[in-house]
Amino acid sequence: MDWKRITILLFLPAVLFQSCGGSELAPEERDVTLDRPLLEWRPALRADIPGFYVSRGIEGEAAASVLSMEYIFQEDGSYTGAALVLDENGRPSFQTLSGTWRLEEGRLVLDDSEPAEVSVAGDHLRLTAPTGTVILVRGPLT
Amino acid sequence: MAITPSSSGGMNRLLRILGLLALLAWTGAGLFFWLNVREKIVIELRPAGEESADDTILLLQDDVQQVRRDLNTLTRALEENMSKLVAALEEEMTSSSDALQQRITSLETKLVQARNRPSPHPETERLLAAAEALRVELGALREAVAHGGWSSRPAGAAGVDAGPRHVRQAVKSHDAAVGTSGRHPAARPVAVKPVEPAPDSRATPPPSDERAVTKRESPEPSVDEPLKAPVATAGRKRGFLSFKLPGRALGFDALQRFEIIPRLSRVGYDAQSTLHDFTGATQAVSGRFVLNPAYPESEASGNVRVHAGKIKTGNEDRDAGMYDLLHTREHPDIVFTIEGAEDVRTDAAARRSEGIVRGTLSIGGVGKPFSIPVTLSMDEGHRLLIKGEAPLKLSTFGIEAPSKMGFISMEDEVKVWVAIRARAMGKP
Repeated sequence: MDWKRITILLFLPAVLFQSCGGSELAPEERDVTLDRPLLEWRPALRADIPGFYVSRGIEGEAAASVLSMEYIFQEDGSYTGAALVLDENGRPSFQTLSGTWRLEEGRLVLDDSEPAEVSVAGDHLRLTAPTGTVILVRGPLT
Repeated sequence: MAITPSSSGGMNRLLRILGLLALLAWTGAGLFFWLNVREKIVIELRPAGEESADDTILLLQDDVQQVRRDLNTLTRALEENMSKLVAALEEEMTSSSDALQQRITSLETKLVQARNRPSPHPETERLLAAAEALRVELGALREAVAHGGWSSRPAGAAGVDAGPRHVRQAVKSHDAAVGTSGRHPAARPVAVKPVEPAPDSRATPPPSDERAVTKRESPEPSVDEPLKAPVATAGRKRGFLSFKLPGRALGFDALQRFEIIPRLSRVGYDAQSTLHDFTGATQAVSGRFVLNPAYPESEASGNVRVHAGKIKTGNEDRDAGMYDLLHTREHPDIVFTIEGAEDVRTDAAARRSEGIVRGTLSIGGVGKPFSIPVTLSMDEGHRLLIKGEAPLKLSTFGIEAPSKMGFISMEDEVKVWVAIRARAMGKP
């Protein structure tokens, strides 16, 4: 038995221990899964709405323009929000707005905008409007 | 003859008798007529200038009857006219449909001839698209004839209004798509999704080429929709949850600038070694490029940059060795410079295209030509999703496949893959 074979026999277990563990990614796992929490949604009540929220995911037509959103819904029916929006040339800019919110037949209406289906799951709030869906997560307003 | 007194007296009696008979006859006739008409004649005495209520009703009834007769006459006339109009429109439809079919057949024949040439003319794809547009329009025309309902309605105003207008629009758009003087701006490449020919197809049987035009069983207006999709329109709308959003939804068939979204993208490679297979991947990918997702072969440029020092294989020692081989200190980025695309097949209806993107791949400062087949599509967030994979030999870039102690070695060929999402940033 030559020295090469002896070396292999001596070091093979260590090499295997260190290097084993195949970590090939399956083709269907290459795509980054969209951040879509698996939550059990239920229709939101008025008491569920107030709070400070930050967008966690935006889908639909709005996702082409809106990068992020934040809302503060107050108990008294007022709200303020900010969104980072891309303009026609792809330049981002912040938009802010304030107004009143109300819940009509389970749909959230912000001022005169299109009503949005609103559902809640834990700290998450999901707003689904004809032009998009945003999942917001409640956060501490520090 | 002489008249004697005796004959004179006889004459007088005869005259009396005749006169009496005449009186009786006259009186009898009068009584006869009176008995026949007395129940039908009502004589009412009233002051001059006044009309009774019964007369007014009779007059109104007479007027109503006259109007009714006039209406009936008008209705009959309208029915006749509308029937003639519908018949004329049906005839026009039939002739238009036949003409379209002939044009499609002619176009298909030319396309087959063009495809059979040794070097296909670049115009082939445009002709193919125009033929497909013709098919869609023809389907719409036939749909209008078959299901429009206006042809079978008895001169219904709604049917007559709806049918011809729809037909006129279809014919007009079809004429616009075809053009009478050659190529039309609308005759750009359109969705070409092979489908089975309709059983009642009157067109030339589709050629064996799988990309050849085939007949659709029913009109698919969605094919045309992407072509009409607004791209980066200037108007703003009161939109998503009260914010003002620009109308910049991704139009699949439009030349646009794109920017890679790192947090939604991943690139990597699959490698094989003596002991096991493994993957190196990272989301540290960025880049901007310009292309028309539906037809990237028309124009495609830009680059994709991967931070080589962020590629992870799940084994730190292996990663360290990889970074050394890739010379990440001197050349931190792996860069793919897009130079074009080819062999593109587009299904505009599904907003999906496939093709080979070619360019120059630079690894460790060594640039080599590189091509990768990719699929382009839109995700639910209206972002461009690019997926693809291609083999790559490390030795091409001067990289020696790593090995441990000479007996555990990595294969020289790896499979490079991308799963990139990019956001449309407007027109170039």
